[in-house]
Formats: sequence, C-alpha cells, structure tokens
Amino acid sequence: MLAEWLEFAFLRRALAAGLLVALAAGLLSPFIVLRRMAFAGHGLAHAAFGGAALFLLLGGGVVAGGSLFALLLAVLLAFWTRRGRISEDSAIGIIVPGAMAIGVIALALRKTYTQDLFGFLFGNILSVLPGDLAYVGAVTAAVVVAMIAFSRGFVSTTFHEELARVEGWPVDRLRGLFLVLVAGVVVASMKIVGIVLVSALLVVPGATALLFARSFAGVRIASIAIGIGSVLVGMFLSVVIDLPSGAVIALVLVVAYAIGRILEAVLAGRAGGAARSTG
Amino acid sequence: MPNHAAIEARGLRIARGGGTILEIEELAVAPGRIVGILGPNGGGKTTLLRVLVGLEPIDEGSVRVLGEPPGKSRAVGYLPQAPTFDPRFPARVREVVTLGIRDRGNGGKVDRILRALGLLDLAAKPAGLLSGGQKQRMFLARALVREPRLLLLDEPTLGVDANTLDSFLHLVLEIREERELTVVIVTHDFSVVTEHADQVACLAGKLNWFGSPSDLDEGRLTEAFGVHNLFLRHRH
Repeated sequence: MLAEWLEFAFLRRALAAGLLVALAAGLLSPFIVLRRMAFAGHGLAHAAFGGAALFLLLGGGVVAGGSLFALLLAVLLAFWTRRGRISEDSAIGIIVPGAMAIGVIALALRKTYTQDLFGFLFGNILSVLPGDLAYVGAVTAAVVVAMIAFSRGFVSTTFHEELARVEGWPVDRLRGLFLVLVAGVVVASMKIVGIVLVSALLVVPGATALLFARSFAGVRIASIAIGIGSVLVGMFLSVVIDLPSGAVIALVLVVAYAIGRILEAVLAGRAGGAARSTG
Repeated sequence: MPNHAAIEARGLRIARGGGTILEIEELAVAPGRIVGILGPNGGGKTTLLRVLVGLEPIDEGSVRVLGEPPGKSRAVGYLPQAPTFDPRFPARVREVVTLGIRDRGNGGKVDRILRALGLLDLAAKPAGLLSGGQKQRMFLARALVREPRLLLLDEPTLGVDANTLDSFLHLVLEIREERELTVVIVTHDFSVVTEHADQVACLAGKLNWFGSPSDLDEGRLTEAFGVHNLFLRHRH
C-alpha cells in the first residue's frame, strides 16, 4: 500500500512535509513542555489563523499571512515578556483574541467559499504544494541548526532562567529565537495538522518522551521518534479511512501519550513492588 | 589583577510598589573577604544579592561588582534562595553542575567539588530525584564550579545538614587559600557568620551596620534590627 501511495506526487510531498514537521516539532517539544510554553504554541497558531484569514480576504496567500502574524506575535511576546514584566500567558491572552478577531472579521467580509481556510484550520495533506514543501524544509533546517548551535544555551535557560542569566547566557535572545522557531513550525505544520491541532504536535511528543527518558539526548530522540511515528501512522490512517489528517494525527498522538502514561504507571508499580520485596 | 573592591555600592536605592525597600549609603567589600549578611525577613538581603548579579534594576545610586556594572562580570557564582527546577528535567547531577561552565571537560575540578559536597556518588543520578538538601548542594556545586572570584550565596544553609555545610565552608576556605575569592553569605544562621565571616552587614531596609563579627553584640543587633534578644535566641 505504501508503494501505491508513493506513486502519487501529492502524497509523496505530504509524507515528506509531515516527516520534516515531525522532526522540527519533536526537537522543540521537550523545551516547550519544560518551559511551560504550550499555551504560547497554541497562541501562535491562533495568531497565524488571523493572518491567514486576513491575507485570504486581501487576495494573498494563507501561508504568507499566517507566517507574518505568527512571527509578529513571537517577536512581540519576546519583547513584551522580557524579565517577567508581564507573564507569557497574560500577554498571549491579550494579543491572541485581537489576532483571532481580525481573522473572524476577515472571514465574515469574504463572501466566497473558504476551502483553503478549512484545510488551514484542520489540515489537508492534499493541499501540500512544492512551495509548501520548500517552506517546511527551510523551517526544519533552521530548527535543526539552531538546536545544534545553541543546544547548551537552550538547555541551561530551560533548567533555570535566572541562573542562566547570571552565568552569562543571552536569555532574552535565546527565548526570542525559540519563539520564532515555534512560530515557523506552527505555520509549517498547518497543512499537515492544521493550526487548531498543531499544539498536539508541539506538546505531546515531548511530554510523552519526558515520561521515560532520563537524559536530554534520550528525550530528544524519543520525542522525534514519537512525532515521526505518530505523523506516519496518522497520515496513513487518514488516507485509508478518508478523514482529516490533522484530526487523525492529533488522536494518534494523544493515544501515544495515554499508552505512555499507562506504561509509566505499570513500570512504577513494578519498581515499587521490587523495592518492597527486597526491602 | 585590577585593584578595586569586590563590591562597591554608593547611594543605592531600590524602590518597588511605590516604596523604598533597600537603601545603602555606602558599602565597600575588599577582595578576599567573607561577608555575612544578617537581617529580618523583608530586610532587603535577597534584593541586595539580586542587584549584585544584575537581576534587579537599580533606581538610584551606583553599584560595581568586581569593577564592572552588575550582571557583567562572568566571575560571579550565585546560589539563589531556595532554587527550584522542573523535576522532569532530564539531566543528571553532573550535567546540571557543569551546565554553567564552558570547559565541562575539566572533570578533576568538578569531581573535587562534588566530593566536598558529598555529591560524587550521586553524580549520575537524575537531578529531579534528589532530596531538598541534595538539590541545594547541587546548586552550591554549580556556583563553585565556575571558579568564581565572587561567590554570592542566598541562604546556603537551607535544608543542608551541619556536616555538609561544614564541608562546603572548608572547601570555600581551601579555594580562598589558592586564589582570591570573596564570599557574601545571606543567612539567618548566626554561627556561620560569627565563625566564618570577616565582616557582617546588618540589613533592615537599609544598611544599619557593617563591621567585624567580633564587634557584633546584642546591643548592636537590637539597634540594627529593632528586635530584642535576637542575638541570644539564635546564638545557640
């Protein structure tokens, strides 16, 4: 069946884009979870919706509009929340409704059918164009390079931000860079999972990996593997049973997390039992 | 080495929420000294340390740390008050300790500090599984491993048993014999100050007194803190 799949250029593109997005999201995901930035990912996705809808009304591309708004929010968040002047969730709670409102008004003003936007919201692998694949590839490359180049800085600032600041890490710049990377992945993911469900791809792989792995390298590898595995299974099922790819991938991710929690509980129970029997 | 005080503050005023929370007319700490900072809760002890590491902005006055503005010198080791981190953080003790330094390959230096703090056997343990006191020791090790010229410790005695504290202070004294190291310790433990400090600063919203611990008597403390019998209650 996979061989039949790969005969279609649009499915090859979708598969490649899905795997690249899963790699990028898997790399960022443990940091998003440990930095408690899940809401930021959600907020960036909603800001992207506002930009996409506005650009659709103005005759521009949804990717361009989504990228612009997500990037603007990332930069705004980085500056506004520097040194805790305002909490990140408050800042998102203030900015995102504005971006969403722009999107809703733009949709209301647009009288024609908005199929593009539906795919943008919930994912449509049929809509992955060669240009989209290039965009996803560029974002993934940027995430991989940044995660290698600034690995120690990201780890140190995630562990304890104030200590990292005292130790000379450029905390604010690293945080701004991280938000920009998340914004890039949000927009890159939109045709695969859609912006409504993108937080599943940004949060679940890292959260699941953190249940088991005891080293940062292990968490990264597990997070990428969970992301890629879930995207593969989700895309395959969405084609076979003809359902929106984003929803199926998100469900697969949630199921993976649930299995992880059950396994963790079973392993903890066994460890507890072993300790009691030797104690 | 440049000839300047390890810490210099002049006309310092820190205001928060419309009121002044800390005022220091003048404070100069010579290099190589151990300074204990005493004072009641809310007296500005933690604020002073946060100012010195550049985490709190200054409203008035000037501060120099190792001859530079706060937050600029990389030769500062800092232990925050009751530091916390996400227990899921996937790093082992040795990784956490070496996070703050560039030359993590210098295992001998790291081992010496881990050994002195009783952490060598725990070096491969996930940091999130440590007890409260072990975590405090891990953060102390991280402050020391940077080979600082100035060590700023906010309540290092919290959750740490007497033996560990003794080992830590001996390590600090050993290091001080090898190279110049200035130490500032915020503590409620009078014995740490009277036994180890060269100088004592009493902070209660402002710097009320700065001098030798041998000159610190009940009358001075009462005057500095506005609380009776504080010294006697804590001394034993």
